[in-house]
Order: sequence, then structure tokens, then C-alpha cells
Amino acid sequence: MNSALLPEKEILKIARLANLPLKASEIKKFQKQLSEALAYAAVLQELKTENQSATAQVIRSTNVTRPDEVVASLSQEEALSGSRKAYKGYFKVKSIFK
Amino acid sequence: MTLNQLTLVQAQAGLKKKKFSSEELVNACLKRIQKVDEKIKAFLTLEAEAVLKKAKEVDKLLAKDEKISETKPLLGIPLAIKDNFCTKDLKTTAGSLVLSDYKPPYDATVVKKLKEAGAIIIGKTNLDAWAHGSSTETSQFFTTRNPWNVNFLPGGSSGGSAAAVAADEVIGAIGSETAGSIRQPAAWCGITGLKPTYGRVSRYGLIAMCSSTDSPGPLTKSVEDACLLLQIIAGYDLKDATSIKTSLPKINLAKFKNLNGLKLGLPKQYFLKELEKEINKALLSAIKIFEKLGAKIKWVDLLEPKYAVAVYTIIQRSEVSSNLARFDGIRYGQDRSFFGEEAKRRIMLGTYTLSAGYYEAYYKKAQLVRTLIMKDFERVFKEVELLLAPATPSVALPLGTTKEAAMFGELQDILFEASSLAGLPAISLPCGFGRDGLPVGLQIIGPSLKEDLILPTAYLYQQVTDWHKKKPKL
Repeated sequence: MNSALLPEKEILKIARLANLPLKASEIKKFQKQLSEALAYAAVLQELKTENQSATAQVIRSTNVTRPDEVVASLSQEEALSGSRKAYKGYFKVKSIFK
Repeated sequence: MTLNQLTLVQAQAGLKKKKFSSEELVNACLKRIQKVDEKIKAFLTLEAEAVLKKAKEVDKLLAKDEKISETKPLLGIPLAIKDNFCTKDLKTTAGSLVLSDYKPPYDATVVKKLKEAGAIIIGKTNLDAWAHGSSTETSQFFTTRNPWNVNFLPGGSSGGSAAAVAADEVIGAIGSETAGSIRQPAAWCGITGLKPTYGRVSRYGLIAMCSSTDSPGPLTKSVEDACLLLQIIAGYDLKDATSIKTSLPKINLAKFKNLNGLKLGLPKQYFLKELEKEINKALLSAIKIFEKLGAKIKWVDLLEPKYAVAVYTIIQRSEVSSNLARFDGIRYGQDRSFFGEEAKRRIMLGTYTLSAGYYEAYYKKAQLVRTLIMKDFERVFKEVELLLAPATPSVALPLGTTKEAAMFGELQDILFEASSLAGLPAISLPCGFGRDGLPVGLQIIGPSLKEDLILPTAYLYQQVTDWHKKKPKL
């Protein structure tokens, strides 16, 4: 597939947005593969969509809420059960301010 | 015939009539797994001791209460679950190293319903990591093999569930489909796979991939089995915001005797020129059978499948990048460096198509074309009641085919993507054998909520054919 290659700078920007650590070999590979996938998507330009509305999901329900009642939920212990970094009943995250 | 070879309906009847015990049934499956799973590699997690204990408890219940199977229709029946459904206190990996040691503190709604119906969860089956793929080759643990020939792929992403059923390692299994992940492995492994209407079966506790199309469904040895499992797992769920309130009508397959007058459409654009010639031949024979059953066949037009491939690629990657953002290694699982290459590739593309400056050109455009695809089906379902088409352009491909083929899944699933984007129900059925003696599948697609028309149609086909009864030699 012929397609303009996404610049490396763009790949690094997306990786940062996605919080994804990439290896040097992956950066090169993704430059090529992402460009090819985007080129494939260009077929959509063949179809006219001026008067269409967008479909995000097919059920088309909006603002789905449940009754405002207290229901059973996970205990604190259960909620923390999968964490490697729990501390005194809390999840431990990286510090934001130095 | 050994007990593990029974269909779900046969196992149910046998247990009820006390022809065998649940312990014997579970044992037969465990023995089979022990014998063949080293070759097939369908299971990521097996619960051998715990399930035998459960089976013994069930046998006591059955001895005590004759009528218990009326309220617990799956009592004592071993089923396998794709490893992207959360199972309380049982490892759930989604095929990824990120979740290699994750034990969910809750059950997915589907799992909860199966347990309430008395089913015994025998183990968790392999899949493409995060269900990204159509081969199980993106699983970060191992690749599942096709029971018909272990040098070939089982399809995916529900490849472990399909292979386990085809190899008679279990009585039936649950998978999930986003666009082909039930129908494609069912076709490649020669079994029955039902993808219900989007929203028919709750997504709660199913590790999210593409939330706007993810649909749990059964992979089984017959249409009757798929129908039975659907009636158990379907239903409105408060915990899934896109769950449908319309309930599934009770479907009594035995009352259907023919397809007299059924308008069955053949979409011209789905009989691709790349279709393997044996698949074309098998489909032509199947069409004749539907005609004999009374259906009125009509060729119809649908949008070229290439548009759905493009829409699906954009929408799925976008939703993946959002859904996988939650895996940060803080609350559970490992950090983001543990993602495999396929997941990274999809997160990257999705982040790009949702990012400022590209959103309109890609994501928004894909959403607009998605509307066109839905309208296209609405139009065709005014002409015909159901659509009949090949399931896959080729039968199973050899191991290793997906290496460096970044669009492999999308191109294998070319005939599934439009109906998935439109949220439609569909079933895949075995209808012959093709290249290398591998199974060929057909699919029947219906309008939204029309499982009660798809299932009887597929059931009648299986009443007069025996493709679904063929077993691989292992």
C-alpha cells in the first residue's frame, strides 16, 4: 500500500498521549503500520455522508441511570485485592509534585 | 460414544434421567482434556479438583430433589468460559501478561447467570490478547491449535472456546464477539457460534474491547445448544448501560417443521471473488437445502464489505485506546509495559484517530459511515427476512500466518464487520469441508432482535444435514 509515512515525531507524541512505553523497533514498525491502516481507511472518503447523523452505539439510549438506592458493592478489602501497591487501605500512586 | 461428546441438550436429558452422574460427565471431559489439550492448547486455566468437588455436590442435590433441574437447567453440566469474562476468585487474564495474575473480586453477569443455572465452570479458554485478533496468535501465553489439523489456526478471538468444543473437551462454551470473534472460530473449527443482538446479553464483567459492538454468546455443538444457552444468558442488566429491555421470547425449536415462504437473501457483495472455491461450492449446496426446506431465495445488494472493514478499524481502535487506558498497574494487573505488540498497535492507532486534528477526518467519518451501514441493512431487511452468506473467505489458515500482517483480523473478518457494526444477530454453522479437509462455515444474519427467526432457520438446516455431527480425529 502506498502511503505517506507518519513522522517519527508524531508516533512519539501519540505514545505519550497513550502513556505507552515503546521500544525503538516498535516506533519504526508502527510508523509504517499505522500509515498503512490510515491509508486503508481512506476508502471512506468515497461515500457521501453530508446528511447523516453519527452513530456512536446502536441502542441509541441516552442518560441511562439506575434508581438512586444504596446497593451492595465491593468491600474495601475486595476492591484492593488486585493491587500490588495498596497501602493502609488505599491505592498507592506515583507522586505528581516533586 | 463417550460422555464428553454429548451435546448440551443430550447431557441435560441424560442427567435428568439419571443415565449418568454429573461427576461422570465432568470426569469424561477432564479425561479428554488430559488426553488432547497438550496438542490443542485450548485452556489457560483449568479447575480440575474444584470442579470434581462441585460435581459431587451436584449429584447429591440431584438425588435429593427430583425437580431441581426445572429451576437449574444447566445443573451439573461442564462449560468453558473465554478468559475475558471475569470469574470471581478465578484467574482472568484476557490473554495478556498485563493481567497474568488477576483474580477478579466479582463474576461477569454472564458467568453469574450460568452459575445460577447450575453450570460447572470447568476452566478458562485462550484468546487473542484482549480479544484483538482472529487467530489466538496474539495471546501472550500460547497459540491454540485447530482440532481438525493442529498445524492450522483455530480462528479467534474466541479460539480456545471453539477448539475446546470442537475437540469435545467440554459440552459447550461461552465466547464474545466484537466483529467475528464468535462466528469466525466457530466456522474454522466446524461448530455452531451465535452472536446475539448487541445489548441482548450483558457486557458487565466482560473485559471491554470495543464497547459499542462487544456481544457475549455461545459456541456449541448444535443450534439447539446455542438456543438453550442464549435463553439463559440473555436479559436486561442494570449494570450494562446499553443492555436491551426487550426480553427474548421463549423459543421452542421443535415446533418448527419447514421454512415455507421464508424470504432468504444472498448478498452478492459477500460472495467475494477471493472466496476459496470449495467454500463457494459448499454454500451453493447449502442454498439448495434451504430452498428444499421451503425458503424463497433472492439475490440482494449490500454495501461493499471493504467500507465496513475501514469503519470497524477506526472505531474499534478508537474504543480500544479508551478502554485500555484504565490498565495502569495501580488497582490491579501489571503496568503498561506488559502490553503485547498487537495491543500497543491498536492503542496507538486509536489514540491517533481520536486526537485533536484527526478526530473529524477519521473517527467522526467512521461514525457517519456506520449510520450508512445500518441504513443499508434496514433497507435490505424490507426485501428479505434473513441473509445467508459465507462466514469466512477461506477455511483455517496455517499457524504463523498472522506474523507481521497488521490487518490480518480485519481481512479475515470482512464478512462479519458490517453486521457487528449494526449490532445485528447472526449465527455461523458448519456446512461442509474445503481445502486441506478443514471445515467450511455459513452465516445467517437477521434484523435486530430476530434471534427467534435465525435460530429456527439454522435448526432446520441441522435437522436435515449432519456437518455439525462430524468429529475431528485426534
